[in-house]
Amino acid sequence: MSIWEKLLQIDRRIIYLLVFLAAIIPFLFPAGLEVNTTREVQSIYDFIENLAPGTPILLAADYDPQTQAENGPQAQAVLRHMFKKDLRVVIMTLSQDGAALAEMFSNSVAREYQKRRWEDYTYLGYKPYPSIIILSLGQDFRISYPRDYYNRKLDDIPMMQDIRNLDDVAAVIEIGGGNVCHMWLTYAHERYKVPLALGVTAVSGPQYYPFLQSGQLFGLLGGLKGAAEYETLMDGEYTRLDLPRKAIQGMNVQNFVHVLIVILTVVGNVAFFAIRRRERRAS
Amino acid sequence: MDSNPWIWNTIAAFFTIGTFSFLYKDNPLYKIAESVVVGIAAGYFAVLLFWTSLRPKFWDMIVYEHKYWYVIPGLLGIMMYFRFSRKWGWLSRYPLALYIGIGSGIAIPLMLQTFVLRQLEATMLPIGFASFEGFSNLLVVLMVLAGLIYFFFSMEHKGVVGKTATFGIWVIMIGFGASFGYTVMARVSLLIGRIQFLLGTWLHLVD
Repeated sequence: MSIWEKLLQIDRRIIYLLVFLAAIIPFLFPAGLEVNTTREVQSIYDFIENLAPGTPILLAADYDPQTQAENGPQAQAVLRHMFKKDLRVVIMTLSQDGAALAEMFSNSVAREYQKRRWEDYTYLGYKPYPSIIILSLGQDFRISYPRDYYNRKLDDIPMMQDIRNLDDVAAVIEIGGGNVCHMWLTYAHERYKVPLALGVTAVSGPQYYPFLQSGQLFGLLGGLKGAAEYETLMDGEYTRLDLPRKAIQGMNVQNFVHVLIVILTVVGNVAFFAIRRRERRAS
Repeated sequence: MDSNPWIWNTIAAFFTIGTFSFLYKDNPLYKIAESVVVGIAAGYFAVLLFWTSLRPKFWDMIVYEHKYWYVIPGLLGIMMYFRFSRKWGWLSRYPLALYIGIGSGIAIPLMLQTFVLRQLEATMLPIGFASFEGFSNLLVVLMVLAGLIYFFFSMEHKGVVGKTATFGIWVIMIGFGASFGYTVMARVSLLIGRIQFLLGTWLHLVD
């Protein structure tokens, strides 16, 4: 058996082990590679940066533990920016497995900025049937959410007094993976014309670029890379609060794994063509 | 139960490692992790639906707010369950018809607007060679047309049509390539997320 044949028959578990090592070693010995920002991420940053303090904004954290690795750092970076700008943030989730995650991250980021629940931010919690909920938000938040996650009436929450529906928020920033992003596009942006930006998983990223080009989205965070770009833009805040830059750290690791995958792909192709050439010569 | 986060993190780490152990081969540890996830997810969702939907939108409305017309959607919901009976199964068609009718009426015009009309509008762009943007727009128009011609089967793919269709399939392949690249990045991100948890949150070896 030639070396090419041996390479093509390599046990897949060896490849898993190599990927695992390529993902662990850069964590222990960080390379400190830079992350460049793209226009679609910069536009979200600029939009939030230009809002006046006290402006209401809606953050829909529609992700669950499956996509937490990508959407979590996105949501945290964006919420930190909103709190830094002293915006009034309404947080909600349409993901049934994400209710506790959204509560955890919103309270934890609020503590970093000493923000008060019900005055600076409100967490509405989870409701089922996303399309119906989004449509109702265009009429009145109180239809689907008469009370917030902590069972307090929306009418009794100080920061919600002048927030009736989607017309009263500057924008919706939707962080999630899957169909729910389509629903926000269809039922919130197209129906009620509310400015919309998405933070999506890398798998979903390419399907949302056309909406960026058509102007239906004003910004897009694609996967861990999008989160790392936002962390780069918020670098001063991360330094000031001494916070770990999880997405940037992740992207450094990502680069090493990608190099390994490229090498394995090239070696696999070279081996395949070398064997095919030898077989053709033999016949 | 102890509220010490280390204990909870250790349980999470146990299930993470248990799930990853499938990469070596199927084993009881993986089976335990898989069953626990399925069981907890189903139970959690049932309880969540009760407290976020059935209780506030049905029970509370009727019992505490005395809005008795909420009985009607409640009955329609119950009628859905008649699907399990051969004799009374036809009753489930009424709520289903209502649901599909309302859903389609809301969704179809908005979907058409979002995914077809606005996207068509976005391909009607000022084209030219004088600027990068104009050239970029020209590429968008050509690629959209070539991609559409590839799926046009009423004419044989020969001559100009054939060459355009070949260009179209190349364009589609480039799109698939970009999607695949992003998919690899997404899967690696999930692995990175778990390693961040194991090395950082659980073992405190990294920040």
